[in-house]
Amino acid sequence: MRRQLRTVFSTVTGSVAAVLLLLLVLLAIFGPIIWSGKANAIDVAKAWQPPSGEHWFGTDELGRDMFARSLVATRLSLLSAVAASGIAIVVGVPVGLLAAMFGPRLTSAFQSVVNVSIAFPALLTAMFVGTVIGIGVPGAILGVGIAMAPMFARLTQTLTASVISLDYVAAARTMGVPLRRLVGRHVLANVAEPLVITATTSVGTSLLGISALSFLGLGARPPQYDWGGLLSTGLKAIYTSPMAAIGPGTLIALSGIVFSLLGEVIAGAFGDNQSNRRFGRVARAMAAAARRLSAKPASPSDALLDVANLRVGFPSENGELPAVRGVSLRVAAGERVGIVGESGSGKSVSVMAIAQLVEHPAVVTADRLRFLGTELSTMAPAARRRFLGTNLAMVFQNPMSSLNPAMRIGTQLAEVAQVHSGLSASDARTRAADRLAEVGIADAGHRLRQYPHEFSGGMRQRAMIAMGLMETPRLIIADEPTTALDVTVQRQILDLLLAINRDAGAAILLISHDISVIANVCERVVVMYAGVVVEDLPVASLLRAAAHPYTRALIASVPDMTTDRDADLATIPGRPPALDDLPTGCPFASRCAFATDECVAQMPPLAPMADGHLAACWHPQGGAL
Amino acid sequence: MSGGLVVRGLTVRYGGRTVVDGVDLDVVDGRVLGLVGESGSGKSTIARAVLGLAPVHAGAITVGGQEVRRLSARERARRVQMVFQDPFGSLNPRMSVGGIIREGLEALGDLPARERAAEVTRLLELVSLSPDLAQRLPRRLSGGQRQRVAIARALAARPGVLIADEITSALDVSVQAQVLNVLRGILAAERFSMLFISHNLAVVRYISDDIAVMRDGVIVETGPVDEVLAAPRHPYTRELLDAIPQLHPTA
Amino acid sequence: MTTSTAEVGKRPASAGRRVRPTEGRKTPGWVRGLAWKLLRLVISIWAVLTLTFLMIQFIPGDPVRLALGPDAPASLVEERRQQLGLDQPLIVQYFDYWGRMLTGDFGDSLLTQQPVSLLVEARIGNTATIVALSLVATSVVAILGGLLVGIATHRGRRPTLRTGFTLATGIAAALPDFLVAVGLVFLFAVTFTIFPVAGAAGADSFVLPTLAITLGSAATMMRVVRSSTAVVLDQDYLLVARAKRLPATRVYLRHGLPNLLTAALTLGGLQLGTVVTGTIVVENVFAIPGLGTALVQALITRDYPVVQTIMVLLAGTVLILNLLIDVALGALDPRSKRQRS
Repeated sequence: MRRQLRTVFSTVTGSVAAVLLLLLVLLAIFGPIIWSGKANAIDVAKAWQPPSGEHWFGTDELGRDMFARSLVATRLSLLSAVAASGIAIVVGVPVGLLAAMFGPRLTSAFQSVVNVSIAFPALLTAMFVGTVIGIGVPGAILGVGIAMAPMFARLTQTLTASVISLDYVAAARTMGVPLRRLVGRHVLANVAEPLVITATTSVGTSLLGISALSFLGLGARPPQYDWGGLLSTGLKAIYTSPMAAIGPGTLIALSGIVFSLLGEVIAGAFGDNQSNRRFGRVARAMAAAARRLSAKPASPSDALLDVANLRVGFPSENGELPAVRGVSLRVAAGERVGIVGESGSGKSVSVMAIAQLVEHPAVVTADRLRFLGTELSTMAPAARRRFLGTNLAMVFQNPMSSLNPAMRIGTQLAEVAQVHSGLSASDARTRAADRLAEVGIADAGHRLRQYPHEFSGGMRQRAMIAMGLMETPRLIIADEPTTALDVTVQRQILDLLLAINRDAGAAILLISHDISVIANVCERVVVMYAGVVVEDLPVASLLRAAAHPYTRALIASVPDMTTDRDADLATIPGRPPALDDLPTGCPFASRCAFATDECVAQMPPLAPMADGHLAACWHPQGGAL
Repeated sequence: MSGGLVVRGLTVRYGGRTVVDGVDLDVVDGRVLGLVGESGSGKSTIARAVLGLAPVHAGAITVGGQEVRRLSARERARRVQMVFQDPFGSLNPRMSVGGIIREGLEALGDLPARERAAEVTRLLELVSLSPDLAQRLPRRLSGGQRQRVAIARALAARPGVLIADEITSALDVSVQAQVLNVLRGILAAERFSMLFISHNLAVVRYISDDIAVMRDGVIVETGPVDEVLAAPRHPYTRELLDAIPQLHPTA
Repeated sequence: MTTSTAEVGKRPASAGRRVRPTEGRKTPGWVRGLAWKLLRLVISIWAVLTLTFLMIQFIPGDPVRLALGPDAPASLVEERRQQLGLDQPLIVQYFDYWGRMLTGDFGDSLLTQQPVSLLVEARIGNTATIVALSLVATSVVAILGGLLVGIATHRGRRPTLRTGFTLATGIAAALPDFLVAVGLVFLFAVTFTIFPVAGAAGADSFVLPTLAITLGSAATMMRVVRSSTAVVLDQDYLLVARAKRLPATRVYLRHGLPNLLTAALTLGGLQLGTVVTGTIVVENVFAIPGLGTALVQALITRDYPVVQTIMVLLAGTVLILNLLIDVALGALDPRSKRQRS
C-alpha cells in the first residue's frame, strides 16, 4: 500500500491532482473564516460591477464581492459533494454486497432493477427526491446521493460476484474460515480497489450534479450559496461582467477534473502492480545472445515452406523482448510436421509470424520466408493476401471464440470463396455446404443458416477446418487445435486432419504442447524451447534416438498408459528462463543434468545428428527412452 | 483422523438440470480413487458437493462414517480438504504464502499460536518448497509452486480425505510431473485417502489405486485401475482409452 | 512469467466449458427477448407513474399550502385540494391518476389554472427538437469518432493521437453541460455573434443548445466506443478474419462493426439518458421556452401537476429510448440474450 501511494505521488498528474486537492481542502477549511465578512458585505451602490482590482470577479446584484463569495462557497460545495457520495456509498455498497452473497435468483431480480435505475438519468431522480423533501441543500445532497447509489450497488455486486466465484474463496470456505473473516479478508479486500477509485471520481460527479441543481435554483438557496448558485447569479451579468460567471464556473470545472484525475491516478497506481522493472538489462543481454545464434546455410528451396532465421521481438519499456530467436524450419509438400514446446517457447508466435499475422508492435525479421517458392516478406500486400488466402489455411486453439458470434456459419464460410475465387453468393454457399459435409457435419444445408453459438465445441472446430478448405490450401497450420476439446473429440479432429492430408494432399503444421498428440499425427517433430529450435527429428526416431536432454525429459515426464506406476516421473527442475532474463549460453543449461561450463558460455548450434535429425546440444544423449 | 469417503445416491441439480445423477463412490481408507470424465460430466460437481459448495438434491455423503452435511464447517474442514484446478485463482492475491497456509491452522485452532510458524515450515517442506517462500505473495510464484502451496494449505487441516480437482491440467507437462511426484511422496508419508479428479486418463492411471469413469452425471464403470484399464467393460471406457494419443506403443 | 501466465491461464477456462447446441427451441429467441423487454418497459413505466403519484403524498405537510404560500386563504387551499382530489381516499386518487395520465389529461396547473396539456403542447416542440438533435449528434460523433480512433490507435499505434484523444475527451467529459452552455453563451454573446444565445426564434437558435449537450456526452460515449473497439479488435474471430485474408474493409466493417456496435451500445447507451435530461439544464441557460424551463419553474413554485407531467414525459422518453437500444442490441446479437451490463 505504501509503495502504491508513493507511485501515485511520483507521477506528474498525481502531484498536480494532489496539490489541487490540498488547495481545495485548505480553501474549504479556511475560506469562510477569512473571507466571510467581505463575501457578505452588501453595498447596493456597487451592484453588478465589472471585474476590477478591488473585485476580481466583479460584484453581484447586492454589490457583494463575487471573488470572496466564490472562495467561501468552496466549503459548502465540497461538503455537499462528499456527503452525497457518502450517501451513495452507504446505500449502494451494502445493497450490492447482499445481492451478490444471496443466491442467483435474488441477483437476477436485483440486476433488472438496478439496470433500469442506472439507465434512468440521475438529474430526474435528484429532482424527484428534491421535490419530496423540499428544495434546498439537504434535498440536493440526498437527491444526488440516491441517484448515484445504483451505480455503487451494481459495481459492488459485479465485483463481489466475480471474487466470490474465485477458487480462493471456495478454498477458504473449505478451510472453515469464519464468515466475518471470509467477507473481510477475502472478498472486501479484493473489491476495495475499484470501489475506492469509483468513490473518488464520484465526489467529482456529485459536485457537478449538485452544482447543476443549485444552478437551476433547485439546490442551495439564499442566504446559502455554493458555486452552482454563484454561477447562475453570474450568468445574469454575462454581458457586462463575464468574470462573475467564469470565476465560479472555472472552480466547478477544476474541482470536477481534480477528482476524476485523482481517480485515474489511483487506478494507475493499483494497476501498476504487475509492471516489470527488470526488462531492459535482460533484453540487451539477450539480444547479444541472439546475434550469436548462427543461421543455417541457405539451401535450395524445393520445400513447400522454407523459413530461415526467423526472429520475432516485442518492444517493451526497456527494449525488445525476443519471443523467437532465429528459428529455421522446412515443410515439404504434403508433409505433416509438428512443433512441440511448453508455454512461452515461442511456438505459436513463430507460426503466426510465418502466416504474416503478427501485429504491431511486434517486429518480425527473417533471412528467408518462402512459401510455395515465393518470398512472403517482399510481396505486395494485396498479392500476398490473395496468395495466402488461397494456399494457406489456419485453425486456432479456441473454437469458441474463433468464429464470429454475430454472423451465420454459412456466411463465414462462403465469404472466403467469394473474396478469393470471385464466386457468386449462391455458388459459394453450395461450396460451403459441400465442405461442411466433408468435415463430417450432418445436415449441412441447415447448419449453414445457424450461428456459432448453436454449434458444440467439436463442431465449431470442424467448421473452422471446413472454412480452411474453402480454397485448396497447400498448407494447414493448426495451432493447438484440440487443446480446448475433450479427448474423444480431440481424436475425431486429429483423424479429420489426417484424412485431409491423405485425400487433399495438404501439408500440415501442427502446434501442440502435447508431444503424444504430435506423435500421433505427424511424421516429423520440431522441439522448441525459449524461442529456439532445440531438436528436429522424425517421429519414428523420437523414442529411439531423441538426443537433446530437453526432448528426452519432455517425453519421460509425461505419464502415458505404459508408465511405470511405482517409479517417480522424470522431472525438469526449475522453470524456463523468462524472455527478459535469457542466458547467453544454452537456454536449457540451468535445468540440464548434463550441462557443463561450455553450455553456460555458448549457445550450441543446430547440428546434424543423423539423416534428417538435427539437435542443438553440446552433449547429445543417446539410447532409447 | 482417517476414514474413507463414501457417497451414496448423490444427485445434484442446478435449476432444472441434473448434473450429478444418483452417484455412488467409495474412496477407501488409505487409497486413491481416480475419477475420470470429460467436461460437463459432473465430476467437479461431486467434489463441490462433498465440500458443501454445491447444492445436494438427494443422497448421502459420509467421511469416516459421519454425514458431512451435518458437520460444522470446522469439523468438515478437518475431515475433507480440496485442491482446485486453477493455480492462479485459488490463492488470495493479497495474502502471503505463509498467511494462506496459516489461515487454515488458525481457523481450526488445533495448534497453539507459537507452533504455527513451525508447522507452516513443515508443510512447505512437505511439498518440496523452500520455507523462504512463506513471505512471498502468490504472484511471485510459478504455476507449479502455487499448486504445491494449495496442497500444503489443504494438508494443514490434516484431513482424512483430500480431493484434487484437475490440479495439473493448467500446468505445463514438466511442471505436472513435479506436482504428481510431490503428491505421491506425501501419499506415501502421510496416511489419508484421496479423490483424484482428472480428464487425463494417463495421469489418473499413474496416481490412482481405483478408478471411476463418469459420463453425463453417471458413473459408468468403477474398479481397481489395473482391471478397469486392462479389460474395460463399458463401451465409453473403451472409447476413452482408444482416444488417448499414445507416445509409446502399447504392449 | 508474462507470456506463460496468459497462455496457461487460458486453457482451463476454455476446457471446462461445454456449449450445448440449442436446437429445437419453439419460440425464436428474439421474440422472447422482445416480449421480456416490453414487459420490463411496462413495469418501469408503472414504477415511474406510481412514484410520481406518491411524490405528492410523500411531501411532509400540506403540499397545497406549501404551493400557495402561508398567506393564501384557507378556502382557496381547500378548493385546490379538492381540485387535486387530495380529499379522496388514496386508492381512489391512485386509479384516478392512472386514468387521467393514460388519457392525456394531466390536470390543471395550481398557479395558472390552465390545463397542463396546453402547456405541454406549447412547449414540447422545442424540447423534442433539442433532444432529437442531441441524440443524433451524440451517437454519430461518438460512434464514428470512437471507431476511427480505436482502429487508428489499436495495440499502441499512434501514441500521440491516443494521448491527445484521452486528454481532449477527458476534459470534455469532465465539463458538465451547464458549464459548457454558460461558456458558449459567453463566447457567442461577447466574442462572436453568429448564433443567438437566448430564445427559440429560428433554426439557428438550436445550434448552441445541441452543442452544449453533445460535447460532454459525445466525449464520454466516444471513450467507451474506443475502448470497446480495442476489445473487439483483440477478439480471436478478427484474427481469424485476417487469417482468411479478407480485405481490411471487410474485416473491420463486416466482422468488427456489428460486434463493436453491440459493445458500444451496451455501455454507451447509458449515456443517452443523460442527453435527454441535458435539455432541462440547457433550456434554462439559453432561455428556451420548453419542458425543461417549465419543469424548473414548476419545481420552484411547487406547481405539482406540472412537475408530475413533465417528469413522466421525460422519464418515459428515457425508458422508450432504452427499449429501442435493447431491441437494436437484440437485432445485432443473434444470441439475443446478452444482458445489458
